[in-house]
Amino acid sequence: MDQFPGCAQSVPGPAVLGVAEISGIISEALDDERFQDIWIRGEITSYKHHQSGHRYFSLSEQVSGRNYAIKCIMWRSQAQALDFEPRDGLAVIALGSVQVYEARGDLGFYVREMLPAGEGEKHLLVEKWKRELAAEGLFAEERKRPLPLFPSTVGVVTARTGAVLQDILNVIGRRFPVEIVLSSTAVQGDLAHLEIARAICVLDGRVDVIIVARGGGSFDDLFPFNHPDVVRAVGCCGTPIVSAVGHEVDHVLCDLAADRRAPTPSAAAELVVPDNVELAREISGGLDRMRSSLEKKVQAAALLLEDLRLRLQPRRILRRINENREEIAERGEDLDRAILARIERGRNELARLRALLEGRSPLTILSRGYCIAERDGKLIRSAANLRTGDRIKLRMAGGGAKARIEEVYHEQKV
Amino acid sequence: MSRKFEEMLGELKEVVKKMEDPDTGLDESIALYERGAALISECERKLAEAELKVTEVTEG
Repeated sequence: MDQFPGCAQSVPGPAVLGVAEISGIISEALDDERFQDIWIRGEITSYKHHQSGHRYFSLSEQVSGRNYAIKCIMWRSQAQALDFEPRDGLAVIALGSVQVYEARGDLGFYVREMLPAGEGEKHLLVEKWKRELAAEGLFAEERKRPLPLFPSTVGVVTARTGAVLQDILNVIGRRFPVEIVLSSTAVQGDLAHLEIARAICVLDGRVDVIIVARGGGSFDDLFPFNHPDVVRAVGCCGTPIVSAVGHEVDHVLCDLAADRRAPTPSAAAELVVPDNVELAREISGGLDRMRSSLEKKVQAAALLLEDLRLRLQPRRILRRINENREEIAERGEDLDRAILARIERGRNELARLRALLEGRSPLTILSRGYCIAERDGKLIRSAANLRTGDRIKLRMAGGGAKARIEEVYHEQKV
Repeated sequence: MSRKFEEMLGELKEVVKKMEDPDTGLDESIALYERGAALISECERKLAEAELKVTEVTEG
């Protein structure tokens, strides 16, 4: 400092940055949405497929006779997902971020995804459509409707020829035969989306449920099913729709707008109609259940009835009758006894009376030595009634005698 | 045929449920059983009668 007296500390000179510092500033500057997660279109040049698996190349473009290029790096892990082999001269679009490799100061575009330009641009278009259609609410969960359980007519939007229609007819015919209304359409080609959309609208309201189906194919083949015309036709259709486009791994926007997505056309057919065999099983199961509950009820009623019958049984009545019978028998015996006693008493009474009677009989008197005088059958009670010469009859023990009165005498009166 | 079939199946389920209810009386159960059996044979008939029919629409 002493050697540079003009440069006092209080007067700052131009700022001097360390390399690390400027590298940091560059990195920071690149941390900007204009450089991150962007798509770049260009032609591949200087392509190297390194034995490590990483890909090194440039994306180039000529504008007004001037050449522009940016170095690109695609790591092995991402390069593995490429479904084409990049080569020099190929027009591509690439998704990635611009970053600086601080150890060497190289600015590079680190590629995550890359597609051939034509197809790639279609992918981008699909992404754009997806955002727009989502914003229209066409993919909203609350728009999804349940499929009818027992459709009587099923609309099918697909090609008239080909395996897809046959698969659907086979599955529906096997599971639950119904009326099928085909609305045939081209399923690929530049104008297919118009035909598909119209084929959907034609069926709307005519059938109970619609299947929009197409067999497997390339991204390009399936492209019409991403078109907003088709997606809107599906989304706005008043009839529930099942979308079955391509194979399980293929996804098109049409799937998102449909009420259900099926992995294959056959699966769509299974979704829209119930299974005959299962239904028959369920129905006959209903019969079994009805039978068994009826049997249970009948058994319960029979038990109840039997119980009541037993409780009503004559046993009680019989017992009561027997009790009564015994009572009656006893009373009968009482009666007999009473009558016998009464008879006995009568007999005794009779004997007593007879004895009494016998005691008073005039004949009894005769046996004691008395005799009875009668005249003309009348008892002679007093001497006053007798006259001398009367003929009388004398009755005495052992017999009698006829007699004539010789003399009558009277007791002197006192 | 679908809607009617669906209704019949729904009614059949109701019938079975009612019959399995211990509070349902025997007389009613017998009537329900008759109704259920009729529904079942009708459902089975409809299932047996179902056949695939294919038509094609051309214009809307």
